[in-house]
Amino acid sequence: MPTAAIVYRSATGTTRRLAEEIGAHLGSRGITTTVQSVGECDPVSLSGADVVLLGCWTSGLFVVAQHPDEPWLAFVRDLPVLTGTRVGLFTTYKLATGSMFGRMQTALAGKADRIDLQLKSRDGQLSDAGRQALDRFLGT
Amino acid sequence: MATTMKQIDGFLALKRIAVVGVSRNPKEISYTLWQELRQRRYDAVPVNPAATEIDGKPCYPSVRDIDPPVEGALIMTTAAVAEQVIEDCSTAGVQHVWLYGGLGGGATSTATIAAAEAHGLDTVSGHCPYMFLPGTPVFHKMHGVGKKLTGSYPKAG
Repeated sequence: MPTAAIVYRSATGTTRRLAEEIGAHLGSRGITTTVQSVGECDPVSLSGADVVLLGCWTSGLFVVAQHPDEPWLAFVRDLPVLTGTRVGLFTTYKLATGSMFGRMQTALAGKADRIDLQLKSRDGQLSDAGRQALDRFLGT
Repeated sequence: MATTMKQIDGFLALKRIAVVGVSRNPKEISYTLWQELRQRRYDAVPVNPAATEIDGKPCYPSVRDIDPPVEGALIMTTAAVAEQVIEDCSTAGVQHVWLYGGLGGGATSTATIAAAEAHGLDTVSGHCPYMFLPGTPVFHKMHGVGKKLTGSYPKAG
């Protein structure tokens, strides 16, 4: 049975809600899933996971300079190289995600073979389109 | 005595910290700050006599009940309650306390500062930890900028 690890960085709880909704969806697809914050998860433990989904709230100045914040970046710096692991990203935002995914990918350079999913939500709820994107990502 | 940056840096360098007065309401600042510390890899221990667990984490009625003991305590209660918490910290051998300064003064008052000093505790008073966390969101940075403009930001010390 495939395993998935969802690791989030949430400032106000919105990204945490999205992480939990993603976790519930993956669970409904028969995937053994853990949902943890960047403070709870040992980065080394992700080595060997079939699927890793990394999420962070969108920080920035309204519509410019969007970026993941320091606790997420610190977690990624400690990640091992995720060879053979399918990696996806998710974020929550107020106005626009802008450069958020690009900066997340830059931070992950050399850590992940490729990133096949970028999922976003304004309010932390997983939309039907988000569920479909997850299903395509998982191949279910 | 005015809080210095050296005291703040010293408190934030601790690893195991009690957060006293954590609410179970996710919209409350005490809850979000506790979560923030956890996500920044602090071993942040919730204290609230009205709860036995918060988010699945054991919650203690008093700093005195925490085992193994904490190195410091972030006190987010009212000033009236904080006086007893300071006593508890002293009894438990906790040497570092942060009297959270929220709206209306939070845990900070003339009496709580005097009590902490009387017990010889290293005391940060009247500030919000969010302002001093690396990479903190813009809103909290602006809070710090406001304090600098008004001359109430901690000096290097």
